[in-house]
Amino acid sequence: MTTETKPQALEGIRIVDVGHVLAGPMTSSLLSDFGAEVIHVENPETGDFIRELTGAAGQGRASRGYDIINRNKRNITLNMGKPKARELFHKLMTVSDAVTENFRPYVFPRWGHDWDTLHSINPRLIYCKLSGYGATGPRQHRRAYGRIAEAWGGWAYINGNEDGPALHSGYSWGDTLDSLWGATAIVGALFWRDVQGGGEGMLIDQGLVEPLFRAIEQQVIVYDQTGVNVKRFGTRHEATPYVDTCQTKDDRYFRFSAWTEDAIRNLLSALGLSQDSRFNTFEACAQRRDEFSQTAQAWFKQRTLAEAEETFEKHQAIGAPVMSGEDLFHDPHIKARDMLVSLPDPEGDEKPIVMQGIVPKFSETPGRVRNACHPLGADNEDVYCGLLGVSRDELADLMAEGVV
Amino acid sequence: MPQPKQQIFEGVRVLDLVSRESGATIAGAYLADFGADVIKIDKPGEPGPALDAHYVKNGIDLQYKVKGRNKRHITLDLSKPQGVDLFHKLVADSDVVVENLGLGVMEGWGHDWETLRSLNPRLIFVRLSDYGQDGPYKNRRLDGFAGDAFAGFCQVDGERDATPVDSQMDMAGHVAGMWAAMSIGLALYWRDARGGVGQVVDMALYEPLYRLIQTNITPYTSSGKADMRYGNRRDNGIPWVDSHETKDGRHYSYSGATRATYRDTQLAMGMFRDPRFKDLPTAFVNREAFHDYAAAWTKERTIEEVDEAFFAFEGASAPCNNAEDLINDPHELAREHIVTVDDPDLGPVRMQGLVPKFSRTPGKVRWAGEQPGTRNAEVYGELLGLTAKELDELRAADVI
Repeated sequence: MTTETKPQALEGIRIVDVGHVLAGPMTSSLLSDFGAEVIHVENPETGDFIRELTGAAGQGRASRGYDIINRNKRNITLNMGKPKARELFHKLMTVSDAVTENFRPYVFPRWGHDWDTLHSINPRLIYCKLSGYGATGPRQHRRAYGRIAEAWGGWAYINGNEDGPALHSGYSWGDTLDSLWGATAIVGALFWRDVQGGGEGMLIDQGLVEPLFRAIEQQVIVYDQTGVNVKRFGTRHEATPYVDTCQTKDDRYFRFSAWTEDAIRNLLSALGLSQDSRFNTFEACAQRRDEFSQTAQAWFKQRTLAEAEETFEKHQAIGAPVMSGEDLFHDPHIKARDMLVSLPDPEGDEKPIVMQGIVPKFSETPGRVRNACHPLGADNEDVYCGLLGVSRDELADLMAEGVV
Repeated sequence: MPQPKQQIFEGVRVLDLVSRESGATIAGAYLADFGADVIKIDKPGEPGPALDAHYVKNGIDLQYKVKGRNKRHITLDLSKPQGVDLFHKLVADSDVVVENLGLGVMEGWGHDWETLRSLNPRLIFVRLSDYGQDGPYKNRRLDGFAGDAFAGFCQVDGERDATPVDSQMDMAGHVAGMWAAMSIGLALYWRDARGGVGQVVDMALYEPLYRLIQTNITPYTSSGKADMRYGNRRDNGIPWVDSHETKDGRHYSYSGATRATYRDTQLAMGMFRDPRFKDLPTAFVNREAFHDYAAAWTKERTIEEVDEAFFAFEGASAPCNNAEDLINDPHELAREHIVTVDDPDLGPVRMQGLVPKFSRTPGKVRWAGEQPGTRNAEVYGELLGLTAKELDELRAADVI
């Protein structure tokens, strides 16, 4: 069987995504790669703010960041605040397996979609509620975006230079990690419902700040046991001297890392330091961190990136270049692993839209990328008339009333 | 009707061969948090002494207490003939094998996919490797910290025009581990709910993080502009997404990225009536003045005062916490995020609770990460019926 004809793990699963911007929409997008049918619900007047934020609306196609977040979906509009929308939305819930949203916790109940109501409409429905701080506790009503998760969850504190401020990156780490945890939770809830005798859906309550807090495994226990906070350490790592990032002769950056005896041996061998008693035991090297850094920096400064890569491969030492989007786009390994896909532009531009491929590679149920982000409301007729049995005249009325 | 299972992955057995130092250990830990029987297999005599001095207490690797929690720890040398035999017996009785031993290592020991599949056609075999099972870099070496560089993360982490930095957590490893957990869930679902069979899952360590970085590929290919580092500011220099130091030496982050939160950010800092910032275009022109005002405003206030002001106007913002801030925080305590586990090595230890909250199947932290081989007698006795005498012989032969 070819990839095209093989089955997909989530074929026949329908997810309604009422998310906006990043964490919510990315959650369902990850599952769409593996065959789930995702319907993205947007406000008819404003659309998902991500369309504007990533530079599409009114600015030409400067940076279509929303395509990777919303690929494979069907896009419908629905003004959730209107009474008629409630009815339509509940109808949609009866034919769906899961719903995701990432508003503050009170928003869905205010629209009439509290868990008890949704559960009574469709007992098999899984509700993935991705709020900022979770749906309980004293901070539940506060707003949070990705950076707020990075701040609150403890990550910004351990990122950045030792003598500099707590630091955020240029990438939405907090949001996207939340979406990975959300998607994994939905798969778990489906497994329990359909395989483990659960029979029913459940409520998944996950705060944006929570996956990162959980992910930084060392932070709580190291403080609890030693009374010391894990702290930021720039290019290096507090727990070992054998991690650093250095600049090469041709002005690229290369990051190396060694955490086991084997890896340390290979690193020292690549850097020509196997016999150097200043650095060739963990204890000695830990005493001379700055000296080791300077020695490593000098080694890289004398070599091009290609030379450094070759030496590291020869000695089986662990390290990699710092890659930009541009570097990744041109990289032969990325291409060989099918990590780039090219899709036609649903808005008609001749230039195709390029984005990341499918991770991971399943031998029996390979994922697929079907489409880039559809225009606002492009699938209204398909979903309302085709799936929910609304007539074309009724749909026209709903659109005229601003409901759809 | 049989009773529903109490936990999501109850009855699912996972053989976990992911090395202790890797952040990808979260794969087994996540599944075990929610009920899977995860058997972590260490090679006898490994790991050697814990090397990361800062995270060690009395020779105990503290971080592993979290990475290895809820897993049953056994030892087994998968390369010795007797070990091969024992491993194959375990495989026959398991649902999942997850490994990151390196390309060709499993094959070299007789644990290739064809053999494992013939023993158990329902097996899900997750191959987590440095660069994947094929491609021109397959013989290069990578771990999570170098993986952050290759995935494209370090390129956007650091101060403007300065060397790229990285965080102190194994991000690429963690994301790969969670991706493996999601993939295992998908493969189990297809196998058991859709009448499927077992399968192989091939994943490079850096690929999941590369896949998550939504700013990597499409913005570059559509605009031609390469991604870069901009410190706590955004690439276009907008000052309403930023972080500043408080009077008491802490840091506070706010994100006024939307029209509403931009206004709330201004209101919180009392700058709404200032004509230099009267609307977004004007504020953008005066962005350095905005930045300086915000930095000075924050510096005059304690973290509590700043947080209160932002809360009053519903700003999207938070203090940059460390463990000390979090461990006694009322919100974290209300969410049951700090749990205490009784550990034979350390006594009571505090660590993170369960994320997320599943209404029907809440999960449980049962024990902390164990020493290698802690459950040899239990696991080999229960699953393979081995006696104490047989275990002694295997131990003497360095098989377990």
